[in-house]
Amino acid sequence: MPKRVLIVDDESHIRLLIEMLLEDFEDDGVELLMAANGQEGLDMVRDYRPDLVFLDVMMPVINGFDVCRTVKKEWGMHDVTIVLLTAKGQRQDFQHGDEVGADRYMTKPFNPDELLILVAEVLDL
Amino acid sequence: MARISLERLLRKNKPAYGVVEEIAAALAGDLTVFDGHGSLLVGRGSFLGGGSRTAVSMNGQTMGWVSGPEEGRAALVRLLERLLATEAEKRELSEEVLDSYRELNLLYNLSERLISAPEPPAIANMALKEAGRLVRITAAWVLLLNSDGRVVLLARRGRPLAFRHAPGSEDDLVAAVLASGEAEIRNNVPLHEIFQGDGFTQGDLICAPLKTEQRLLGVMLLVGEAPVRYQAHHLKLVNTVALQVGPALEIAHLYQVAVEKGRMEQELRQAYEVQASLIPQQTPDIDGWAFAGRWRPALELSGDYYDFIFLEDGCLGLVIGDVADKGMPSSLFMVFTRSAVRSAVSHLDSPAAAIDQANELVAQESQDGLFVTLIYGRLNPNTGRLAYVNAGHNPALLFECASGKLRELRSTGIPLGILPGFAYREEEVQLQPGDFLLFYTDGVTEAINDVYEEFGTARLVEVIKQHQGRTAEEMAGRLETAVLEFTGERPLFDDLTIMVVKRNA
Repeated sequence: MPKRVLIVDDESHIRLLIEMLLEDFEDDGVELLMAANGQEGLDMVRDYRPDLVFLDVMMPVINGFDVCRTVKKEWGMHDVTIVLLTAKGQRQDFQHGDEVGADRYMTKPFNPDELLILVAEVLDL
Repeated sequence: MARISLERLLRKNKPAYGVVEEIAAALAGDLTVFDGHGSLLVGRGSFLGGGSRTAVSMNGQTMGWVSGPEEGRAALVRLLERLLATEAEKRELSEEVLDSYRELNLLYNLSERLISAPEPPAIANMALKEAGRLVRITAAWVLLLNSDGRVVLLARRGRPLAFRHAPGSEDDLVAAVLASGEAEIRNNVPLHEIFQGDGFTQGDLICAPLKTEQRLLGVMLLVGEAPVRYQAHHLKLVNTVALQVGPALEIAHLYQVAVEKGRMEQELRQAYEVQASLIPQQTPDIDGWAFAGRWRPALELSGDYYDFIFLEDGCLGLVIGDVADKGMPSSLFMVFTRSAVRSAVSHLDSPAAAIDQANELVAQESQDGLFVTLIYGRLNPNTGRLAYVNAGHNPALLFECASGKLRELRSTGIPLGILPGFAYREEEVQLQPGDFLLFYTDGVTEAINDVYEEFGTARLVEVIKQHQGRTAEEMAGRLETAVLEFTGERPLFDDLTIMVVKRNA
C-alpha cells in the first residue's frame, strides 16, 4: 500500500505550497491527498487511512482540533501521525493539541526545510 | 521542489490528467500523449508503434510527444504547452513564497535567539551566521562605533580578511552608512582599499546600519566575491537582520551596564560598611562629660569623619575632618587621613606637632588636588582644657554657659595635604561645667533647601541657643533633624557630620 500524506487546509495556497514541496516524495511512491475543510479531511482519513496528516487548526465548520479529536480519540487511529498547523505565537494551541491527541506541531508560515525533514522522518524515507 | 515534467503534470491522481484524457478523446479517437522518454501518459499505444508525432515543448526543450490525427494533435499540443507554462508560473510563484517562508522563519528564529543571547559578541556572531544563510557571502563583519567615533571589530565570519577602516575616503562605505544611517550596496568595487593582506581584488558589498531609535551603534558589512551582485532584495534581508540586531546589542549593552552597576553598588555597600565601621560606634564614657556624634554621607561614601582617640595620659583626642569632594576617592583619602592623624597623635602630645606630622603624611599621599580640613583637639577631662588645631576647617563653636555666648574656634592653619612642612599653630580654650563644644562639617551650614537657600551659620546658632540646656546627644539629634527638615525632599548636597562635647560637671 502506498504511503499517503493528507493535507487539510481551507487555504488553497497552503495546500498548493505543501504539495509542491512534497512532490519529490511522489517519485518514491508517496501519494498526496488534499482536503479543503475539516469534513473532507475526516472523510479522507476514514477512506484512505493516511500515514501523515497536515491539519490546519483554524478552519470553518469543523476545526482542526475537532478533526484530530475524532480521528485519535473516537476512531482510535493512533497510527495516523497528525501534525497540527498553528499560528505563530499561539502557544495555547499546543496545549489544546495535546489534549486532542496531536502528535506534532508546525507553525505557519512553516519552515519548508523543517517540513521536508518531518515528512521524511515520519514516513521513514 | 521537483523539476517540471509532463509526467508529473499528467499523473493519474492529478486534476490535469482527467481533463487531458477527456479532451484527447473528444478531439480525435486515438490521440496519445508520451513523456520525453517515450513512456505512455494518456491514451493507448506505443511510442515505437509508428504514426505521426508532434513534440510538446517548453522554452525550446522537448517535454513530451503527442501522436494521432493531425487536426487534434496540434490542438492537444497547444493545450499541453499552455498547461506546462501555467504550471511553470505556479512553481515560480510557489518557490518565491517558500523562499519568503524560509526567510521569515530565519528572522523569527533569529529574533527569538537574540532575546536570549546576553553577550554582544554572541549576538553579532548570530547575526552574521543568519545573514550568511539569507545572502551569499564570502566574509562579513560587525563593526561597532566606540566612544571616540572609531569603528572597532565585534565579530567576523567567513574568509579571515583584516578590515581596514579608512575614514575620510570618499569611497568609504562604512563611513557613508554611519553618516546616513541607511543601508547601501556597492557592487564590483576594489576591495584592496578596504581589506589588508591578500584578498580578492574586486567584490560586492552590503553595509547596513545597526541602530536603535536613539542612536547608531555600528554597521554590519557583508562581502561577496564577484560575481554575486547584490540586489535590492538582498539589501532588504540584511537590513531586516540589522534592524533586529541593533536593539538586541543595545539591550545586551544595557544589561551589562546594569550588571556592572549592580556589582559596583554591592562594592560600594561593602565599602560603606568598612567606612562606617571606622566611625565611632560608641561615645566615650568619661565622668562629667557627654559626647555625641552624627555621620551621614551625601552619597554612598563619605569624605567626612569624626573620631574619639583615647590617649595614654588620660586625655581624649577629638577629631572632625572633611576631605575635599565626595565619593570614592575622598572616602579613601578620609581613611588614610584618619590613620595618619591617629598615628601622629598617639606619640606627639602637642596638637600642633601631631598635625604637622599628619600633614606631612597626608601631603605625600595627596593626588589630584585632594586635601582635608580638620580640627584636632586634645581634651583634658580633668581640667577641661582643650588644646586644638583648626586646619582650615569651619570654626568649631564653644557655647559658654555662664555668659550664654558662643565663641568660634577659628582656623589656625591651612588644610592638610596642601603644603608639606607647614607649621600649624595651636590654641587652647577652657570648658567650664555646662559648656559645650560643637564640631561640624560644611555639610551642615551649606545644606540647601528646595529654593536653594543655605542652612547657614545663623540657623545653626539659633538651633544651639534654642537647645542649649539639652544633653549632648539631644543637641546632636536636634541639629541633625533641623538640617534634614530644612533640606526636605532634596537629597543632601554634602556629607553631614556633627560632634558635640558637653561638660556636665
